[in-house]
Amino acid sequence: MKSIGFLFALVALQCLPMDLLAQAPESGLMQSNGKIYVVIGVIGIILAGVLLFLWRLERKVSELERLHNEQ
Amino acid sequence: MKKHWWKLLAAGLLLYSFAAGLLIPLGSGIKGVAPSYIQQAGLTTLQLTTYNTDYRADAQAGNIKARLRLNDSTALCAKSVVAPSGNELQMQFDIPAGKLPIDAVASNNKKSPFPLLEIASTQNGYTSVQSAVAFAPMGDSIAPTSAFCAIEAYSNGDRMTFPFLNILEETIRNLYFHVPMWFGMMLLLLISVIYSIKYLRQANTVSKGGINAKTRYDILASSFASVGLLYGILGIITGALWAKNTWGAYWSWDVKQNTSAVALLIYMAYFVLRGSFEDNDQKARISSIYNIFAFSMLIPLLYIIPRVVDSLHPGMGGNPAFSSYDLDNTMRWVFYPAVIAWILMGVWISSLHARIRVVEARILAKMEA
Repeated sequence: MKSIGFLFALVALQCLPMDLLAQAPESGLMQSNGKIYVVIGVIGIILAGVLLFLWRLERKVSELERLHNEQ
Repeated sequence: MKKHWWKLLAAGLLLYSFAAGLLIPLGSGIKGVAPSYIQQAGLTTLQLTTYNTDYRADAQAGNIKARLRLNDSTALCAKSVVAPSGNELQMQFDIPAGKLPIDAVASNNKKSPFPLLEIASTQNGYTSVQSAVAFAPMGDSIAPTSAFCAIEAYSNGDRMTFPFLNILEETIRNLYFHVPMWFGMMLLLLISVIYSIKYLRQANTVSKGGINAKTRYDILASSFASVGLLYGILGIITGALWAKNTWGAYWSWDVKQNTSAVALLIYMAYFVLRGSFEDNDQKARISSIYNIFAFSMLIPLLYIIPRVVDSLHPGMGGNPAFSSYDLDNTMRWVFYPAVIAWILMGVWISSLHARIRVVEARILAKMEA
């Protein structure tokens, strides 16, 4: 069920007008201050990804605790 | 504590790579040169916009040297340099009439950097920009040698900086965050395939504490593959963000982008495959074999095809990924520790993942028994 929702989200993303996502070159936050915010964005993505993974890992531990208590 | 030393090392290296990667300043850089096309001989003023500089004190003390290198041994030196503001320079050149000896092809057959505009100053160090200006043809006679100046050494002083490259600018620091994801992914997937091979080679022994060694190897293989896949996904997303702000689009259908996306899809299929079996032994056996095929696909996808075909990524055209130009010494001292840190972090997370699943398998086996 989850993956179907993900597929729908992907298709919906394709339907968005690209101008919404596109950014005019040489302006905006990302291009300011020597593009340092791109680096901040990259670090943010990596930390978010690792934290998401750890969250899922924690859910596994909770499941494990539940199994152990049932035993 | 003795067997946990590498986790402390991972934390230390990670902190070091974040701190050094973000705090070491960029060297001074040249963002723009105007005019870009010189049509006439005689006195010409070039207006420069610079980055991360303050040339005012240097200009007042007469400590700025600038030249236009035409080839390895010939240059036009600036007659005067003034700094209207910290990030601006005006320099006057006396362009001789006649043909200028500009080297069109560099010695290693690469695109020539000439005319190379070079600046050295006491406080702001050395900086340069390749193909800074273009010259209109100015007659057929060779320009007089008296117009040129001798090449003296320009030094960067003892400043510790990361190189300023146009377009990249501060995003050169992404080297310490985006690239270690790929190095880490490669190593984690290598460990994963080693466990898959161990699984296939291991005899079916009697189970110990609920599960046998074979099952443990299979769990380890899939745990390392899942963190490897996580690193790959983070690598491709961070790469897209970086590409948007340098190459101009999230996805430019660059060969390395495409092949790494295919590689990730292959590994996603590994997990789809694992999810599609009811029987644990069958799941483990078939996915181990698939893992070996998947890993052997990585080599041509990530290491061979991108080097044969033209790519926006560095390292195309047969060279290893980093030439001396792409990675200078200061960057090496941050980049390699970052790679080691992220690899150790990946191994740590993978082994946690695997240990949790081993315990889970043991409890389930006990419940069945």
